[in-house]
Amino acid sequence: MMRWASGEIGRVVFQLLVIGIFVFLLAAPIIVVYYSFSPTVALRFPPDGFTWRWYLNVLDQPRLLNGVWQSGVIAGLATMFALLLGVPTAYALTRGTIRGRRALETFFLSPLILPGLVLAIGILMFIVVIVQPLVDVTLVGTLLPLLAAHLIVTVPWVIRTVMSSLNTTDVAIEEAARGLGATPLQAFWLVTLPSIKPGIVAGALFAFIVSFGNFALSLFFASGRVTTLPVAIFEYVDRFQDPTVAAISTIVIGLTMVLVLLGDRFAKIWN
Amino acid sequence: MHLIRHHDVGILDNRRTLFLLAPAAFVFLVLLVSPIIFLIHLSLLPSMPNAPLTGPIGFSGYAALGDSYHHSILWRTIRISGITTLGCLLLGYPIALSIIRSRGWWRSAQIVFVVTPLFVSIVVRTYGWVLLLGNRGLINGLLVSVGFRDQPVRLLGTEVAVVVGLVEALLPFMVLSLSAVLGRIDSTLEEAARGLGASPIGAFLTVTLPLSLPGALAGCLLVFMVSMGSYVTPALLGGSEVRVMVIEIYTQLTTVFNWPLAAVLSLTLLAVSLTVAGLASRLIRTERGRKTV
Amino acid sequence: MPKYLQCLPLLVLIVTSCGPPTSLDNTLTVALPPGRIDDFNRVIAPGFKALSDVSITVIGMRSADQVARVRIEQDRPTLDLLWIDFAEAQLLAREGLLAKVSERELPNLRDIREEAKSTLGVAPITFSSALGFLYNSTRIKHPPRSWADLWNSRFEGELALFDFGSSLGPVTLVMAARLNGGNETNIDPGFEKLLQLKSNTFGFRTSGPENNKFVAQGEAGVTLALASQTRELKAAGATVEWIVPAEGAVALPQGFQIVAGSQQGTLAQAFVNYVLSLEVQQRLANDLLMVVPNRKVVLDPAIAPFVPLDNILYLDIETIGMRRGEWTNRFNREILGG
Repeated sequence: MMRWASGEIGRVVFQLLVIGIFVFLLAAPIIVVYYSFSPTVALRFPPDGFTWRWYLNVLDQPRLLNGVWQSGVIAGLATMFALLLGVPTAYALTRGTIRGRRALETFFLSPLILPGLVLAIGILMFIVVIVQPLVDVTLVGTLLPLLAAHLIVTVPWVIRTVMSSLNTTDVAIEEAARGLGATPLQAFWLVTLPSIKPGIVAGALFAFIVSFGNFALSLFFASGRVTTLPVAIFEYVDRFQDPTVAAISTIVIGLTMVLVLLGDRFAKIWN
Repeated sequence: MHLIRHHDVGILDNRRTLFLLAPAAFVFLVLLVSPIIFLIHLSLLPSMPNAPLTGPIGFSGYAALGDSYHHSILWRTIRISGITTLGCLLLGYPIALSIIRSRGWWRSAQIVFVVTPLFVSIVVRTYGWVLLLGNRGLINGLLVSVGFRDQPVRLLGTEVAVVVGLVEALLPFMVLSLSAVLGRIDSTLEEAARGLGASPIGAFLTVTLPLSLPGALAGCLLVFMVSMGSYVTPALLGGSEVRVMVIEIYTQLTTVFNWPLAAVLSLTLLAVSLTVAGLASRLIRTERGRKTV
Repeated sequence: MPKYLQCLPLLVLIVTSCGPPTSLDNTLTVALPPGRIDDFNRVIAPGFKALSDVSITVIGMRSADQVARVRIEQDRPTLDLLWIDFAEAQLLAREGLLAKVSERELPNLRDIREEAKSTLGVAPITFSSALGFLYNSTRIKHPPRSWADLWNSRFEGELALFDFGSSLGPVTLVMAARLNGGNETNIDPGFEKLLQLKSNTFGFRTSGPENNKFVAQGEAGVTLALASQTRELKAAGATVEWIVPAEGAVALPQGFQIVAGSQQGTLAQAFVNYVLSLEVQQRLANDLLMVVPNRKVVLDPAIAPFVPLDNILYLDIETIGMRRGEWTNRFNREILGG
């Protein structure tokens, strides 16, 4: 049911435009899916045939499979910590009364505008030159530096979405709960948290996305144990020019669509 | 009925506020501020190929800022990012409007279509464009078979290819920013304008567009920033001849081994980004200040 | 206590257990070019694993990235062994970041030709790839027979060349210099000559496999490649051939190097010794078509044309390594046009 009252022609043109843009948006992923079934290494249209061969080859590529697992684990951990750090911060920034909140807001959102490579260099050198001598433990090559770097780029997303959610919920409800005798923590837990659920879910989703697909940071911290999927793909593409990469990407695309559908169903993210 | 509002009413006292901010502040200080300080130190070391990591502090690295070669790279980066932002804005509005105004399965489907590409790693999405735009790619294949051209058109290795790849990659971010703000604008406002005699497009331009400006600006800011700092898309689609800032930084890091220069360029990129961010934030705040139609 | 807080201790446990790896007694961490992971696992690693109960962790990393990594890590290296271009190896050696070797720890050094040994006391050249012209025989009827030939106008738009992200970029520049009266220490003639080659280029790219693909698919005519790559392409059905230029096949020397301060020093030494052994060197020559420095190696007659032991051209690796950074800047400005 369209609420936009307009002429028939205008509506059709608009719909065509929208569909056209979607075609553009989905062209690259679609071609990747198409290519994953191509029987030849060369791209042909119309297709020469159909094969599952590259999907089977994925099973033979431990580095790619390992990459999926690594990316998932890191993204999951980063998201969890990002939520733990981001939600209280967002709450403090919107409901707090200290001066300089805007400056703090900018500070916490600043990683969004920093080039990943710049952050990566800085963090790596910082760890090697300052942190490692201090704790006298080898950190490079473990999960920790990568996790730290991913954390710094995911927290801003959580803060952003939770803040925007908090801004649209009425303070009056929380104040009412306090007036009825609830402690601040109870008010937050029982009243605020449920109402900002869309913001939290959106933040978690973005944090996961950003971490999973991140390339620049992961490349810099890559080691034998820590090779995320984007890096594994990059290595593979460098060597083989065949559709195996397309196959594993298609699998990820499929899983993603399911995740996003569930997210929208349960949390009504886009109000 | 909501108009866009920014809450200035607080219910937390200062002590609690600081307490809640402390964990994130600590993490950020360690992971963000310290590395940048480190970068600044690095930028002050002597700048040369195979530069050692110790030496007298000076500004030799900053001489690079006067070099026209770096100017052209910076300008190219800004140009590409600017066009990408414009592209995302023009293509993002129709999609955002469509999502907000629709219901049911079509709405869910559109959301899935918008968000799913974000999960596909940037390396793969860009590779998809390589498949599409290559001389043996889908587009050239179609052009040749239709008879439009005899020879394949060179699409890869151009700025156009990079912009196309970036717009496709960042469009979802713009759409999400726009939907967030468009969703809060009451459609009855536009209907009121129509009732007063405005055309659909007129109503959009005079009512919806101005009200959604803060969200649009926020989206533009995001897209611009990410474009400025992108590596994979310009590297794979632009080839050797479309050199952007991050690629040059990477070259100085891993081929020339002039890390002080890499630090200088990184900080320059940072400075430009922050300046643009500052200007845009000011604009957003001014727009937000206008609370009524 | 709210449910999510109860998860915290568990989380902390998980994260910290992912922390510093206890250095497993039998794990070697090897960094090598991503394109070589396959060859390594197939030809080199199995024999060593059979000798001792060792697990080998492999990381794909280009030589330049290996240099960056070793430099950053300095005295706390996470890598034990590097399969690295010899030029970069000499660079690291000069900074004291590679372990020195002697015949005592590596007995097989005795069989290695003198010119392959390192002047800085680190591990020698383990093998060299030999660079020739890969061309598409359907597209190119009269292939280039020498480097000088490449400047001929009949190759307009046909040459898939390399930028300085690849080690073949400097090689092209040096050969151009040598053709124009210069050399590694007098490189200006090289830039002049290379500028004249621009009209013949199909493009300057970083990835070897990518350029090879262009030639195999007939989009470009000629590129620089190895005999082993040519063999693979032919096996996949491409109409390509390989030819050694008149001036000689430029050697791309590489070596296994031990990172200084590695926790697996003894094991790493055993590995390098193993790679220098006659048996492995023989396999490298016959299987991977590498030019190897072990004197006792005998070539299978069938593969002799692809392993030009006699028509090999060694460039001044040291100078190239030292000047590469400076040349990169010039190349990006003067040849690519900023």
